[in-house]
Amino acid sequence: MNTPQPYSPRFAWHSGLLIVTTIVGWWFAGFAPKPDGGRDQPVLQATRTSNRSARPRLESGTPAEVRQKVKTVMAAGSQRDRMLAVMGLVESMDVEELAQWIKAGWFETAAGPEAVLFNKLAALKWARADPEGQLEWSLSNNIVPTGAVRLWATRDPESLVEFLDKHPTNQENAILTILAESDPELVLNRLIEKPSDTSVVSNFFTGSMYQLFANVARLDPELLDEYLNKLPKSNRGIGESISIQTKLNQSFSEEIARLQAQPDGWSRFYDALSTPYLQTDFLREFPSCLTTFSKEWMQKLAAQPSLYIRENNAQQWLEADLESLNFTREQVGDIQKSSLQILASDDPAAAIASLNRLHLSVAERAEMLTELTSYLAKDRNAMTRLKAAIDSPDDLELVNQAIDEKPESWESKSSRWTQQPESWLEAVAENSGSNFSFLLDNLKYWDSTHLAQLSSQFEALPEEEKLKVAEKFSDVWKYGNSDPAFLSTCTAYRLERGQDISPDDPEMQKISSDVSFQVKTWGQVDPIAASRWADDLPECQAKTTARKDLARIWMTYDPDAANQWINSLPSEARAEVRAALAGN
Amino acid sequence: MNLEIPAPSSETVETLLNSSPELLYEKIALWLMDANVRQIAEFFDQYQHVEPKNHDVMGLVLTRWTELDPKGALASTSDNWHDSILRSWAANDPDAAFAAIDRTSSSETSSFLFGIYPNHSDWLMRHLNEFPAEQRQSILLNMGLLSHSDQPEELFEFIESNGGGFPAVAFRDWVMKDPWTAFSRILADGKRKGARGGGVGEEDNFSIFVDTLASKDPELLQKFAEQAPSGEFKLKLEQARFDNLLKTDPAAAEREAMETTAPRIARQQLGAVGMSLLENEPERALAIVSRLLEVDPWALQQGKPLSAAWGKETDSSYRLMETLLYENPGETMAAFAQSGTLKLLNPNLPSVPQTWANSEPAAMGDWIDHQSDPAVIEPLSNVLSRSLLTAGDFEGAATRANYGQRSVLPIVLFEWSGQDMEAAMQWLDSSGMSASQIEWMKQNYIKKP
Repeated sequence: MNTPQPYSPRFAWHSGLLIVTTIVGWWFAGFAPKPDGGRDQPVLQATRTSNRSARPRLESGTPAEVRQKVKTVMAAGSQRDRMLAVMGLVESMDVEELAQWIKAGWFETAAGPEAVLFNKLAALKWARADPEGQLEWSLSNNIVPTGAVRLWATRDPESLVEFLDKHPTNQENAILTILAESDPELVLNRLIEKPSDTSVVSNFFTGSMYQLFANVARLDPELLDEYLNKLPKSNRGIGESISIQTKLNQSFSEEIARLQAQPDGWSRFYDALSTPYLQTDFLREFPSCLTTFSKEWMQKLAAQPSLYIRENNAQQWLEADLESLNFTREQVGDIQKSSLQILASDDPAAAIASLNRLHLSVAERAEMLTELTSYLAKDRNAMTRLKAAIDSPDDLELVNQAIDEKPESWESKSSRWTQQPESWLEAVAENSGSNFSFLLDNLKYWDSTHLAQLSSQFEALPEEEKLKVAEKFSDVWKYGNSDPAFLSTCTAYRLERGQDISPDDPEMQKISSDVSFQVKTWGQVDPIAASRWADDLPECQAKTTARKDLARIWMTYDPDAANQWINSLPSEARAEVRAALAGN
Repeated sequence: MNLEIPAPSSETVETLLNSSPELLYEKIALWLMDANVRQIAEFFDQYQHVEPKNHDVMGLVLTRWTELDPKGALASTSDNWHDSILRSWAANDPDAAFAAIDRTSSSETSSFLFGIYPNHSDWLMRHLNEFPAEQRQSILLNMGLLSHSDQPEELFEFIESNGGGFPAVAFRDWVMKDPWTAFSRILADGKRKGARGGGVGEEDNFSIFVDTLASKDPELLQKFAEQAPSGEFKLKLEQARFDNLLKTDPAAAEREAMETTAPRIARQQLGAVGMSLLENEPERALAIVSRLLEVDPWALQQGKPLSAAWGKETDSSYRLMETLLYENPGETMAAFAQSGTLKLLNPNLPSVPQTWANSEPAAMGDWIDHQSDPAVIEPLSNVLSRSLLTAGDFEGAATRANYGQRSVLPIVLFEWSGQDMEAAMQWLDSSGMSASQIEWMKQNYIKKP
């Protein structure tokens, strides 16, 4: 089930949910009485106030008659009755009304099948009457309505391409992928005329390019070959990989022979199998067709087991008579090890049964079992099933030993640190630099209680330990985009500790530069917190500079609030900041 | 309200398989309502081999089949479909599905959970402790990305207090249900981001709040903007309020923008107004740029995107200036020259003069002739001269190059004399330069035959 299948059932289900999760239960808005227990005391002071006694709800929420219709449908009885009611509802509305329902997301519960059915049926009806209007709206909301695009693509493919000319969209590849199901030639010509820049788009869209070419190849593999050399460079590689996969599926031996005859055949074969999209049927034939391969290719294959061993052929690899071919004993061991690991991920019992069938020495078997255990150790469920499949007490002891010796993984450490600020501080102090981003990520999971604990535990650390954490955290924080409040605690502590250092000392200059960087960055997003922080710094040149920097930045977007703060400063500081603003 | 229930379908498995693909979804939807398990299995068995198949149809069939007979659906289909069936089963009947799955199988557990996340957050809150401890954080993260509830505040608190990070989806539901308490929560928390890096779930609470309000009830934006503390959140609310004003009352928005004096706000507002005028009233868009440069002479530098990465939002004031510089370089550059910031062009948009020189050399030459600042004339004359040289207009190139200390005239003369020495010499003699300069040029830059 791990085989990449962009159009797998899982994908299909998910795409069904896409609209539903994008536009959510709007009719919840604005009709229930307001609960009394809201947090009415903002922690930060508002710079302006207004009368909050009258709190209007989101008035433009769902109209009452719409809510009534949805309620009637959802109260229709069994799921079958509700689905029939959905069909009746769609039938009762005209296209304009349906479009309005989709745009406003009126039929959205918690993503139930009724909502999926409503939106699909409504979208189809809308698409038939006004394909351009529907697609334009969908794309502006970052949705690709597959059903509607497919409808348009089969009815009038040329005009769909004209639409793309008039409405440039970053979803073009996704639309062309659907168009390729019915008119591959039009799609290939479009790619030549307007190359899709795969270098700047995300993997999601590049992934879609694989599917696009797979759709072309499914309908007309010869056409894809004919166009390969005409395609822009950015797409040619993907197109060729799909073409090779398709031919491997059609005739594995013939395609291998063809590739072996080419000077760059191996790299093309390698690229074709390394794509995120892989048609895997031909892999089943792989272990039984090894005699097709030259000696040179056999050696290359032996070095790359992960290239061709997958869930759907791991068992065959374990059953293949590899030793009678040109593989060394060690190469056979590598292939079997990879196959066992892949098999064990899904079915540990089958892996143990296969291991028992292999002709291995006691030492080889022990090594194989130990490595298999290490491979599975991070998955507790798989380990339970592996142990359950083992009959021999000796094997079981070997497995337990391998688990004990397995070093603690980053994963388990991270989950512990996530809950314990104290361990997190220890880890930062001990960290040599690698995996620091992982530690910074942990901060994102913490709520305000954890963050408050972090600051108080930092304060309680012994002085040297505290300095170590403060320095390390300050050094890397800017790359981690993490909590500015904790960083400010660290930077302020460093400044405090450095009070006796001369301002010309490089160490002090570094601290001052960090203070300045912090206040400038923080001042762009939360000037109130930044101003409090700057005001609390020990008296020194860095503090004066920080106040000036903050004032300059704050004045560019909220002069009223900035002036309010400046006026609250002690007179000397106020004069310095004013002079800086005046350019003196 | 009475809904008219459609008449039962008269389709059969055979007629459905022969239907036009574009009509299949509607036909299947109706047929499924009265089809029995055996008929559904028969259709599924045959349709799964159709290529290309409509996966919406497959989803619908599996949903109905799972509703009628989940165990039968699992037993009759290949592994590839079990994920969809388990999701659908979990969505229909969490308890029965939970009892049926093999909880030691990570794939079955995952399929089950993905059916639960969007549909039954309440069930998951009650049963979270029945999952192994090491799976819980990942479950909480997924709840944050996928789970809805009609009590979103409770779901939000549950996920966050259990270490699941900022629950973006629950927060959006919360904003929709009661923006006022959600607003108070933002004031208490400050900015919070989704825990996952990049893409889905990375939205922060500020953006979710502002975007939701902007699309659902923009009239409220002003009220919240007035109450938000100074900083990023207030700026986002202000900008969304302004964008809405621009849609509903463009004249009022333009008046407000023209009166703004804080540079960053001016860039936001004037940029938005200018962009809205660009297509139909480019002259007024140009006036907007003049005002922008008056308030913030460094606007081009300040608004320039730090990275051209895909999806990166570009400052609207920068887009406005960039577009006008390419479309109407003369007048736009004049506005820059007037504000004394034409020098910002070279480090930020160096190809503007080049593009102009290549497309309209005469107009650019005329524009240069009307300038008086040597700091403007020299670099632009050189750009124009190089362009004329490339086009083979040696005389034009030499005439344009004959200016300032860093003139490209030597290059022009060298190239020209290689093609036509006599003409180059003649031009030099009549150039108006001093005799010693002419002699020096001849000795150093005229290609001897």
